Amino acid sequence: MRSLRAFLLVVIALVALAVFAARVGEPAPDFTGNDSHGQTHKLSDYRGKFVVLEWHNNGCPYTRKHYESGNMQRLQKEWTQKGVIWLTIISSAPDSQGYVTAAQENDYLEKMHAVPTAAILDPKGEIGHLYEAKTTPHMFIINPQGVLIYNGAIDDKPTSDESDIPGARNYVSAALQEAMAGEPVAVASTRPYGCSVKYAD
Amino acid sequence: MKPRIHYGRLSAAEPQQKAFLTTEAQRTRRNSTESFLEFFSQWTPCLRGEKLMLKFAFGGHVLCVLLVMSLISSAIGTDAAQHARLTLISEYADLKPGENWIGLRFQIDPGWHIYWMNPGDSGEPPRASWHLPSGFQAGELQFPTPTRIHDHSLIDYGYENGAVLLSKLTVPPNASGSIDLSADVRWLVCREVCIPGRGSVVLKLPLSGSNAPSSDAGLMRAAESQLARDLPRGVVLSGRSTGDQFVLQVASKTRQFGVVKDFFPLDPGQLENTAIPKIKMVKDMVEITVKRSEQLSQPIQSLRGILMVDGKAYRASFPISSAAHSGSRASSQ
Repeated sequence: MRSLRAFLLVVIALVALAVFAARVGEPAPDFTGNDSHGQTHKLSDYRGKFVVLEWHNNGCPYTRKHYESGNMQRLQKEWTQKGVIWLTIISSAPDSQGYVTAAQENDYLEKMHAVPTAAILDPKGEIGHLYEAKTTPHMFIINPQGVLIYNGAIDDKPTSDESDIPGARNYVSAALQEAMAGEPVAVASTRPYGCSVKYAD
Repeated sequence: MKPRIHYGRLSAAEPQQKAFLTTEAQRTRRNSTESFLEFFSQWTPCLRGEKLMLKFAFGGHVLCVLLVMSLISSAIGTDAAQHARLTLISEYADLKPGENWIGLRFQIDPGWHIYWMNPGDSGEPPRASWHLPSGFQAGELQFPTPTRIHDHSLIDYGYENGAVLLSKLTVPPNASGSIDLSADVRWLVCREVCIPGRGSVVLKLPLSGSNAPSSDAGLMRAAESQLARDLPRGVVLSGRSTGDQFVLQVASKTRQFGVVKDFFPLDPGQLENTAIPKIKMVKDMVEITVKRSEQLSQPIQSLRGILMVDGKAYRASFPISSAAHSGSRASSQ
């Protein structure tokens, strides 16, 4: 009897996960997370603004491609200046690549001149699993109504080579430009590329 | 294993018979040098990659530059972590006018892997840019059948232990003498972490056409036998999209086509790689059910891939009937 109950609980949990998974065109799953300064962020508190979620791992060559070139920082600066909330999310488990303490992340942000609205520490991978974030980077955009309008790669050049950035089509900028102009997002869903998110197994 | 920013660069050379290699790979393994760099970088802003030389030019931070250079050179000397070693090999000990098979041979450390042409959920395939005498041409890299590699909650397609990627080299009819073939190759090798690799390989071969096998002939022939071939005549492919699945059918008129064991999708982003293809017999037909990628927002006309039949690889392109592309879940907003 007890095992049946446990089984049912698992089934309910799985169904709940499936229902709340992030799908383009559907409400983005809500979450609460703590950033590297100890501040709490709740996605639904940002209703009325565009929100970008950026999955991050500072040792991953694909993340490094976009940070060492300054590309990610340029995007963060450009879009936060236009009122977008930019949340960098780190879902690496402790002892795996990309895991950072709050102090280490603050040093990193300063050293890299990164300017997200906040860097959220998600060492248990709860937000990562909620969004089914696969790679670093993996980008999501949520519109002011709380609907997911983009899920996928940062751009159309799936390499770890910095020299590919100038010729790439940046899907995040394109989607934000279109959505802010009241147009439909032409490319709303792409295959993310990068390193696997280093979740706790 | 703890990550962070890595400043050390490595190079190592592995001389081989007729071929040599130089490789540069960024280390991600944490060791004492790196820990010190991290510690050091917290106390000085001088370790900011590309700005290093600029600062040097301005006359400041000279000590810092010297220190960094000495640390990097000590890293080169102490750890030759390569994880994947690359050589350029040939089936024959010499070249002949016309077509010749050459191959990029990767030898991969245990636990590490490189990627197939469709890397799956993460990673990227090796790429080569060739430097050949005028009139010579190297064909696109041809990849042997991959295996599925579990990477956290993802599935990648690639190779562990080793792989030979083939290229068909076309030699012009008037060529003569001794020929230098070389390629700049980039790849990604991953275990828990990923390391971009980059190397130049060179192979010098005479043009005599004696057809004597090289010492790598066995490896080359094994790789050639693994290449995907065309389906035999009489095998008919069809497919349809239903819900979040594609149902692919293989019908054989000859009845001599073997047992379909697996299917690997060629184009990234069409299928959920974590959903292993389900294969069953339906009457006289083989039916393969695969899951559509949630990232696929457009209907597709065909699903290309490699069909594994009795250990042999076949190129397969399943036309997807447009009658039912209602499976498209993701929409543009």
